[in-house]
Amino acid sequence: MSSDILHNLPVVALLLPLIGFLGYLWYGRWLSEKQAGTLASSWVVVSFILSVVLFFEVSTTGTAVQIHLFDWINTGKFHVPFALQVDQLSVIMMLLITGVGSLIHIYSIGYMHGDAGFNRFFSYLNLFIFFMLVLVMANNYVLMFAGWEGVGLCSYLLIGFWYKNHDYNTAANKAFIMNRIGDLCLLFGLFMIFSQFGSFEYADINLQASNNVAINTTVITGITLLLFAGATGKSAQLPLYTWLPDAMAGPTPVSALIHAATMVTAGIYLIIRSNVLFIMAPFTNDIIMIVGLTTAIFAGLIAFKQNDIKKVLAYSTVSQLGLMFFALGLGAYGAAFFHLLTHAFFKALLFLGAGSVIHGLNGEQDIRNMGGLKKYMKSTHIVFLIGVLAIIALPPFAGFFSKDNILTAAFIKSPLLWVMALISGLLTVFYMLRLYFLVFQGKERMETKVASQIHESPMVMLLPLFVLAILSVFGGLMNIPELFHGTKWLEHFISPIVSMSDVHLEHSTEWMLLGISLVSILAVGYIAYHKYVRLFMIPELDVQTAQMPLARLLKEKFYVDELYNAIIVKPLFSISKMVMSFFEEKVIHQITNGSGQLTLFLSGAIRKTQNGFISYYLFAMALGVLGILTIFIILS
Amino acid sequence: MNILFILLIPFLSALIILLASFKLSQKLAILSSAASVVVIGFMLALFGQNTAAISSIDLPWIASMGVHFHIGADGMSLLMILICNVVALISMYVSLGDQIHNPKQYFALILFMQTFMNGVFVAQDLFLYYIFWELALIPAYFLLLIWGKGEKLRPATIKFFLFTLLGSLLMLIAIVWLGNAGTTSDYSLSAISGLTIDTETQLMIFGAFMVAYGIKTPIFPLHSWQADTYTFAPAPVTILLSGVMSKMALYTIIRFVIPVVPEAVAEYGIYFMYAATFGVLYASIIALTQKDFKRMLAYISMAHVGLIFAGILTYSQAGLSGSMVQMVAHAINSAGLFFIANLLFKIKNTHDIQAFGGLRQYMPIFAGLYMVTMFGSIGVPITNGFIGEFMILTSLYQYDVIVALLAGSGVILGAVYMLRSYKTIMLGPDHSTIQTDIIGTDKYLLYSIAFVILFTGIFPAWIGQLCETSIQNILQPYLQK
Repeated sequence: MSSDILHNLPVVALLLPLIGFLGYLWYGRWLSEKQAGTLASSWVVVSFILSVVLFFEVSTTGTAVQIHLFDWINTGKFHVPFALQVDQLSVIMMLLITGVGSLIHIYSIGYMHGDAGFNRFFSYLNLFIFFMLVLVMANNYVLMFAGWEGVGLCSYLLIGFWYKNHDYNTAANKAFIMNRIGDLCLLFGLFMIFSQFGSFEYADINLQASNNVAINTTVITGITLLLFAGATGKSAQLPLYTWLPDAMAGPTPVSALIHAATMVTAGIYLIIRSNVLFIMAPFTNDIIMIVGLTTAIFAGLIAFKQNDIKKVLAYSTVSQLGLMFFALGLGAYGAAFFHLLTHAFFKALLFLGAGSVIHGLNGEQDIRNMGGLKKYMKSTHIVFLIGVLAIIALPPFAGFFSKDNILTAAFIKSPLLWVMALISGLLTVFYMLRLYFLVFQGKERMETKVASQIHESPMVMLLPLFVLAILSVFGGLMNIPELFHGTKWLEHFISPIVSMSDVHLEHSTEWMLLGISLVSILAVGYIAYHKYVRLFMIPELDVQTAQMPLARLLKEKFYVDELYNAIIVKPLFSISKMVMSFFEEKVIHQITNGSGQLTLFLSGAIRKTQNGFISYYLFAMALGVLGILTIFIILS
Repeated sequence: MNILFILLIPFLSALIILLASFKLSQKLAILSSAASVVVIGFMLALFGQNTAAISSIDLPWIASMGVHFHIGADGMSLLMILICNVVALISMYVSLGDQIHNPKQYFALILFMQTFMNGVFVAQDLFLYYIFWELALIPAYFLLLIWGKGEKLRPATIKFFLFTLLGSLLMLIAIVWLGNAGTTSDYSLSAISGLTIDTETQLMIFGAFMVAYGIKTPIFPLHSWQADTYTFAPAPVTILLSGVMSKMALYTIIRFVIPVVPEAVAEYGIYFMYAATFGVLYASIIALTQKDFKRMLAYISMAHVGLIFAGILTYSQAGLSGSMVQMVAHAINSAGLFFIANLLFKIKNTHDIQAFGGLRQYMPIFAGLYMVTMFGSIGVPITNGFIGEFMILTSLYQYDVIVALLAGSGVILGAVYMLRSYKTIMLGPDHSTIQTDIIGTDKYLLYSIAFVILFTGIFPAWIGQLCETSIQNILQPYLQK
């Protein structure tokens, strides 16, 4: 392929979704649903096709495509180019974003059918794809940050998509603001990077970091901690995760695309992208590991007691992201990236499947009012089951391979960590099967009126589900480990960016670990089966939960929202009012007004001397002369 | 092309308006402002090809005092003039929708103000500069007093006047001292920059200047005139005050203070940086719970200019360039926001945020453009508020971490107060009686503002290029020492 076309391909792939968005602004109001949906999907599909071409280009040449578009700012030493870089890591991200993005666009044509804001919805999705591509295609941190905030902006727009609902708007604001807290940390990370390296470009920084042995480790630790803090906002980790469950207020395709498959993985992408720095910061890695593992378990526990189908999936996402961070903390970048990809497949599948359920039940989201849906929605049932089997890591589904990778890495570090990670995995097994059984198996608990109207979703929604189901089954093939006579293709492919780890376990140990985890998965699975299918147990009513302290604690999500409200939000607004009523009005204004009054008072006093009596003036004059003479005499 | 045009156009237009029929005054004023923008655009184009294309004027004026009528412009001055005239044009357009009594006097005063503010940006003689500075204050005072609204208008106006007058007096003392410090009395910038002043005297001059500019900008704790003034002034005047007048002070610090008292800036600038960045936090916190939309915008403006003030004092290329970029951004964004406040006022006849709700349903265009302006003000990347803020914060970080943290607080709080008020006003269930979107001039003006916000957000590089030489000239002498 001629280098000229190659040079323009990434730009075209990047701009197509933006054209879709701008096009909507221009003529969106005059498009029918069908036109708008098809058009918006086409931009992304074409972008996906171009990404495939780029993928083959990058994999044959083995080098990154660099494109300098223009200088964003360039003055003195401060240089930020608007430049793209398509290397092995970003091209895979592009495939993921535009691939899953295309599927979700197509799905949304069915899901959003009849919504008053149909066209607007697609324009936001297009804009999101654009910013997400900016995020992964940038060749420097500042442009990456532009994409980073841009996707946050789209997330804000889409969470609050149904803007007449007060709670949804609050959720949208919360998402944006919590992300901004992380973003400020990320910004400071960038300031530190610039102070240390004098550049924002990945290539410069990586080069300097790997060549210069004299770099202060404290600085690197500071940089990496700040970058990680930024990642905890975007990727919903402790302590900044609380926006993600609330973000489920958005339409379900948004939850699948933004809040499961792509945007929330930006934090993981950021750390993989900066792996050269992170490798140099063992302290940060330990923190990441601890935060990731804690989040994985913490969110997994909360998911136990959630009864909203989307909330369960949301906490599951938080938990799975925690697992990815755990892997990053272990230094298993390849494993984390692998899990990022497989998770994107099966979590998008699960969300879209849940969307199909919600669609079929005319908006019902409470799993206590579902049950026995396998009879009504055969296709949705099958694909959802595939998604569940993939996420609980049953072989040979995609999730099995990627989770196994992470578990192996954990064992190499310490068997205790392996146990902890396994426990977090078993939590997943339980709450996901609970979800599956309560929705698709057992007795039907819908009202008869609802039950009579249950319908399978249209083909335009099912087709993307089938594709994602296939990916969830076979996605593991990307990175088959040696144990199964594979070559770890994915890790080899991204090895120019992330060097492969060369530590291995004995095969016998690996088999043993696999056996243990498989048996425990089956055991936990059986418990869930017994409880929800054989005994027909259904989650208790909310009033009952309130009676049980532990269940209530989980149901109320450990009261973290309330805690934040009490220690941050409320005090902030009280401080604001106090500063206004006391400091601004009593101190600042009083001082200035007071000095004005003092002037008036003094001038009043002096004015009394100007009383118009000649004799008084003469007397004053005499006194003055006398005074001057006295001073003159004393001085001489 | 001679720089004098930029003073003559608004000045002569003001005189013509005073003579012409009052029915024509509005049209003439807009025509004149548009002409000014065209001329400055032309000048920028010429300047881009040849930096010597803009000729200056240097005439002896008050011979006994060595005062010259000396005006000229470099890239930085041209940029400030561009801001000034674009904002003036916006201000004229905003006036269009309002029923203004005594339009003749009103528009003539705005044009006089525009003239003198332009004068501040081109003066090369400190005494002349001072005269322009003071002259610009007088029309502002009358515009505020006669066309302002609010129960505490008079005390607020007097406070505004006295405050700025106090600053001016300090400044005058410093200027007279500087003018006579050399062997002969000479107020030209080149002569004064060449003076060798001992550090103690530098400190006194620096202090006098900084109090004056701290008031005008304003920064904490010299801001007490600002919120009332911005709230009670008619929207077009608020736009001029926050868009241009605050920039007069910021510009002067770069143009005069840094070259004249460099050691004092380097030594004592940090205290003013602390004050200014503390003001960012302080104003942002106050903005959180303001009930009056316009008053909230006043505090937001204070937070933003505080950041620029600190950025200038970093005394670095990135800090100064970032400040210039951010000045352009703030001028447009605050003009846009106060314009939005005015549009809202026309809907419900109030600035009370709680009185609004659900406007978006019937006003999608207004809601969309308001959102773009809002994100510009928050400083989301690819809007104009980002890159300047980013450069300033980067240089603040390199200067002092605490200053950067104080200033950085605005990044989070800015999102909180803007999104909260947007939610209350625009989103939620509809309960307004207005069922038509913005139309006509209002619509096109807000479209233009949104366009500029995005355009200068994606392509801010020209601002850096335009000011690069000016900034290097200003920084060079000190860096050599």
